[in-house]
Amino acid sequence: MTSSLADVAGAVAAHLRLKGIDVVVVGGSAITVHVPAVYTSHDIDFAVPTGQRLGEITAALAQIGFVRIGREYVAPNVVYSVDIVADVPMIEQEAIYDYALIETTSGMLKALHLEDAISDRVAAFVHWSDSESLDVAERALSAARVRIDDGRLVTALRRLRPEGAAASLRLELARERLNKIVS
Amino acid sequence: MGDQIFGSQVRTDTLVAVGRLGRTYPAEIAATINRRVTEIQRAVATLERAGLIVTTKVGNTRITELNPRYWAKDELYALLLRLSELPRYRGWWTVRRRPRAMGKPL
Repeated sequence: MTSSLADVAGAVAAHLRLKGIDVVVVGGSAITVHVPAVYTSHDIDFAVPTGQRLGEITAALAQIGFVRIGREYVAPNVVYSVDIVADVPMIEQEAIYDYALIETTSGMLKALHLEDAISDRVAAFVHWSDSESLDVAERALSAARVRIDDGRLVTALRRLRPEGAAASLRLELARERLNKIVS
Repeated sequence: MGDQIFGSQVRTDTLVAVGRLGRTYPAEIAATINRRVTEIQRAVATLERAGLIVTTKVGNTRITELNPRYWAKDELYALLLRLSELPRYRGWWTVRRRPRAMGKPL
């Protein structure tokens, strides 16, 4: 199997599609498929908008060598593991149905739009004070500045609903840091 | 610049770390700001007496966080968040805070 995260995810997604299972790359791996130099994820987080059918998914992944260990699926000689993390991808309370299409060696791969993936990283900073996530969001925005749809990014960040004064202050700080890159 | 506003450098660094990290513990603070654990424990004790932070023993770990009942807790947090962005502190906040599901490798 090919070696980049996007190509491995593309191959797995193509196989699952043949079995009637549609998947979308979410989480940190969505950042990696858009801007691999910015963040290296070693697990491929898939959401399954058609609903998780773990028995079918496990059987389908076994056909291409991925064995379930704990909650993850791993295959020999593949550095990336696969994790089924959700049904419909969500950012805060909002379900996301519009996805980016990434070209891979196995065809088109669905992933969160980069703007949504950045917003998802900002959410981790807002809710858990996870500074690494804010750094990743900042680096992704900086690296892909010319590709970013500003309107989509604004909309994605508006979905964030901080609870309490501390979370609001973190969102304000995150916006400031991202605005410095955009402006 | 404002580096000793809480009485000493180690005390200021400790409080900034507690603000930025949220719930933490002395060994994690020490590793984050590159100080000895005993220095952090002393700073934590002083800051706790001042009412700025609270600690709770969970097993062998003394969980440390900002005092949610401090009269100016929001203003204190806003100040600490700003301080944590100063060049002195940028690059220190690499400890993962977001959850990791059971069964996923670290």
